[in-house]
Amino acid sequence: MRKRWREGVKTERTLLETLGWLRSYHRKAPFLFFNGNTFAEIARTLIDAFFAEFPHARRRQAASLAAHYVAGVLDGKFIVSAIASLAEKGDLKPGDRIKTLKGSVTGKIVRVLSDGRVVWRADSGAELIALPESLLKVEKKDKATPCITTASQHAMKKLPGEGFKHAWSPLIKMDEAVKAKISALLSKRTNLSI
Amino acid sequence: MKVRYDLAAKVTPAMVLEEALANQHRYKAEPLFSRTGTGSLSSSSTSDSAKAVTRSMARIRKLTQLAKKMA
Repeated sequence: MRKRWREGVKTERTLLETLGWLRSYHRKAPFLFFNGNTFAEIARTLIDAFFAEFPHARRRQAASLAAHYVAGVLDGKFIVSAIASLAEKGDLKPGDRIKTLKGSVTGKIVRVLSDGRVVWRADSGAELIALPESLLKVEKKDKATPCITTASQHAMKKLPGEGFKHAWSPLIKMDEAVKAKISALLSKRTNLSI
Repeated sequence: MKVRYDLAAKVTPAMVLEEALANQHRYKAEPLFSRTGTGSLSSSSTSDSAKAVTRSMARIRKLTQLAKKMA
């Protein structure tokens, strides 16, 4: 497994292919514990550097999406469109429909202040001031623009009855060689095996 | 905004390890892991988020300096 990983590191890939490759290693479970956070953290750190020019809030959301993808709870199409929406330039003008990055609050831009911040009115009626990079424009034709809240909801739904609509990621299956190695280590010290 | 492939290519395993270790306390094995084989991930606190911002800014600064040196 280690050899395959070291060989694989040298291959040039697109960003999505890289995330898919990390996801495939998560599924192979090369470690006894913490496979999820190991591979998700690699994705998170890479994305953080890759989108270094994003405002921090957007960068963090992009990294979180990538980590969820690697952990197997989001599909590829979803993260591509969600990251694309995070990459949109925040040129907002009065009247634009907007939502917060998490998608939990929507509203309308009231005016743009001279320092670049925007005044916006949430649908609840509250008037708020925000940095434009902390808001996303809502396109009229695209009411279901992916957002982070949608991502977390996706991640929480596990069964068809709860609204989980995707095909499941392949089951996490430890490589036979890794299994044998760990069993040998365990049997040296205990009577346990896996 | 442009994507910074040049910075992503310079991310080192040590940087990933630093992030992974900083998150480790959020992964709770007990009380369920011994019985079910499933642990849980607790939400990050505001102090965790503030520290993550500091680490991220420091890492990007370091990567940017490295990229400038290589250019």
